Amino acid sequence: MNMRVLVSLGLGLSILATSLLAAGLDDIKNKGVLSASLYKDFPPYSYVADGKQMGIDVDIANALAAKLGVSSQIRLVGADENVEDDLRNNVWKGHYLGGGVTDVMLHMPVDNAFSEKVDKVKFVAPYQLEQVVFAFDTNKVGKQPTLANFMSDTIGVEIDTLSDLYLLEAMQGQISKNIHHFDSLSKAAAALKAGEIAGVMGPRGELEGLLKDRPDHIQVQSLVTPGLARSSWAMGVAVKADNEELAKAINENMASLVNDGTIKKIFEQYKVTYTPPAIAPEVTAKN
Amino acid sequence: MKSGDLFRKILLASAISFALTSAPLMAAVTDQDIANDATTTNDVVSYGLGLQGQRFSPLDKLNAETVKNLVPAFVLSYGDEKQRGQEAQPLVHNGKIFVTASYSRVFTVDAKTGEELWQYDHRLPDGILPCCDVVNRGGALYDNLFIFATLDAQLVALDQDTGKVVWKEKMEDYKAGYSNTAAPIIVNGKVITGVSGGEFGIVGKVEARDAKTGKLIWMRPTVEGHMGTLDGKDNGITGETNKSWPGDLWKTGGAATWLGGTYDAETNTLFFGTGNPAPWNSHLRPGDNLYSSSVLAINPDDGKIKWSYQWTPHDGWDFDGVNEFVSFDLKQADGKVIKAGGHADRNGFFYVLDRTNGQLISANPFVNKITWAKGIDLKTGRPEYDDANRPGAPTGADKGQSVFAAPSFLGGKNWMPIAYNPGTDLFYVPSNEWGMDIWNEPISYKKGAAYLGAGFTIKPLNEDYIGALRAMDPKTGKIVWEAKNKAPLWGGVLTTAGNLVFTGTPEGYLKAFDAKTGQELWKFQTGSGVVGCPITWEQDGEQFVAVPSGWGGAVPLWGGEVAKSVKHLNQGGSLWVFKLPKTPA
Repeated sequence: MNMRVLVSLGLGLSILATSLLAAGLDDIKNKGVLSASLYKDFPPYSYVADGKQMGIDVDIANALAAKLGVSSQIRLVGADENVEDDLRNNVWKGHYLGGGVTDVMLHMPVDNAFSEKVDKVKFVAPYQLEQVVFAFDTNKVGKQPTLANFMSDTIGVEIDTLSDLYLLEAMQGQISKNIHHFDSLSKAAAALKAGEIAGVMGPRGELEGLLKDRPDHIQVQSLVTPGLARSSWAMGVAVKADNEELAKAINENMASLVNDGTIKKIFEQYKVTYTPPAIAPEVTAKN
Repeated sequence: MKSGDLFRKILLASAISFALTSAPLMAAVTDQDIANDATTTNDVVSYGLGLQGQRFSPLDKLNAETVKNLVPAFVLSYGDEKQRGQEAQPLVHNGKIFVTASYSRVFTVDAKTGEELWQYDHRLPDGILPCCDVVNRGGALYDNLFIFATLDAQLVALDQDTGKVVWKEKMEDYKAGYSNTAAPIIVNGKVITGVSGGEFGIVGKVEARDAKTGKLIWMRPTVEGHMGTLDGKDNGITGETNKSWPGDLWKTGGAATWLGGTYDAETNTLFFGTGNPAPWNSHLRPGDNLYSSSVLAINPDDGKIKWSYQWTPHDGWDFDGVNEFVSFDLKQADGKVIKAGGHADRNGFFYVLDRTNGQLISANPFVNKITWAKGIDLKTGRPEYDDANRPGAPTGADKGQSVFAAPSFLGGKNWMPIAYNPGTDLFYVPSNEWGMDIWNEPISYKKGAAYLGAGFTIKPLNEDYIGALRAMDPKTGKIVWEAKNKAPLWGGVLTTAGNLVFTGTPEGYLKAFDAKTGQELWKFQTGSGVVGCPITWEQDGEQFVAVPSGWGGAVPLWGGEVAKSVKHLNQGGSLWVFKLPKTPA
């Protein structure tokens, strides 16, 4: 029953000591710091290399803070069972073991149906469209594979992801016996490079980042995925629901970062294809 | 730890000299003490008041007549803001009471005065996301040690007199989602533990370590295909590789042993329950998924599996099978006695098995509503599923068929241990009447990415109560009496030769019932919900009762209608100790 307890743990808890407090826009400007939660061990988006915080989301958070005229303070956090838990732990309530909340969290879905379920935060400033794709070894499955190839060839996934659950059921369960489960997509990508498996299914940004130095026989592209309800979603920023001024400022500043090409440049630095979201962040006229 | 060693030697020396002259007052806890725990009345040195886990005390000074005179002796506050879910069972030895508390803390008090002797606050690492709450269910005593498991999956042995760390062993990597909240048990010098962890990517196991040093002796994985070890060498795989799982899912099959286990000396067998299989949706893993939602009978000498019984094959309701297996003598009409074991599963059935071979003897509902199965076939030992009530496959954009299932995944009975009274021949089961709506939830996200989750709502089945303490006759499978409670029951049970049954309620009461009739005889308001395990012992000719108080655990975390019955309850953290005075006031 572990999963369910974890999912809702903390709903009834009072906050313990909070070292970080989410601040309003004025407070952020007075303090001179924008605090942001990003996922840890999550290349190419947010990770630590040589003791330094690196990644696309790290650079975006820094650019956003710079636009606001403040410095950034980035907290790399573990992913809980789902995004609702992450938001409770990091944006609107704080984890029951302490640590408090941050002003914003990046890499959050901008999805109206989802927003309706999560009323404690606002999802703003969509900056990227993430998409589930495949990386594959052309020596094993050729240059034009389809999903059916993996009824006979092996495919890796990060455990307990959309790709994992989709492939277990896809093609009437005919792929399930060929799935190799990895505890991270990095390990799946390494196995693909080492020739141990024929393909990997996962989000494009992650796969391209992990396979940025890939040989020619490893390709990344989307394949037709019958029965997969959603293969793409917009990523944005989560802000505590009552922090309206901050939400507005984040939206506006992200819009100019998207429009002036800064975001695209950041993605290119990490050799990841940049796909802008269908809904660009709104530029609200200043009153 | 030179000074600690010296102290231990002095302690041992004094224990020996006492033993030569008179009663050993300062004795270290021995294997014999633990083996006799169920029958000795002046101490409680094991989880379950004896390793069989009967939670029965032969004391009878306190009885249906005298319980009205039971009064508080003292109370210890755990202090600070960590007031959450006190699910522990205290231990008593050598004039001290030992109790664990939420957030991996330990308190020791003088059993006469209630004065705190020492407190141990385990330093939890930053950024842990422990699975399954911050509770702790208790420790184990051995030699001069108090041994308990922590939220960051360490096993810590403290000096009983000073609270100083004697040894500390990492059981698993907390960063990979492992945790531990169960009470260890000691069997012939070995400390035996399970492990808990997040739903995905983990594999359950049972481990035995040298209780004096923490050194690993054997390890037995609970999912088929994984290799066990003995003294650092391979010791045979569990089951048959990939017999009951598709693809490589056995590698990450779940089956966590998060509630620990019991031991029966007559058959020299450990009984460890296992959690649900992963992934959660059963349609993605056709097969029985061994040994998830099962009980494993394990040889404590080498970690080999003697037999297994699966409560819920191909579990699709998150029922788990971790609940305790309690050894007892099943007395038959013809006077024959079967070495049996009783188990009240999350899935709503009360099972009696032959504990020498795992054969099913009987399985009867201990809750009023069970939708997932029509019954358990006594010939095959398998459930007769009601396929209409299995949660659906996570197909595409559809929300998936919503299914109402009873019991809910919190179980007809959850973690809180049952008790067996050999005098009344009854089991006492803290049960709950609730079901759940469960459906596939296409609009969900995990680690910032789209995901296929499950949605669920827990619903009470009755307006006036959820909890019901029930007396089950293991010979007939009939419910003999029940005592209803508005809020769900979440605390352990104690029964005594004084014809009494004790248990706590979330409303804050410790209550005593007549073991034969279920009549409520006594109650005391502790100020916060009682979700811990009561114990009793004798001290200076007086009978004592102790129970932790502090509302928490899984119940308050759930929304919907259940939350309404518990919303007003305040959290807490204290140890209440009661006694029956020699001369009533």
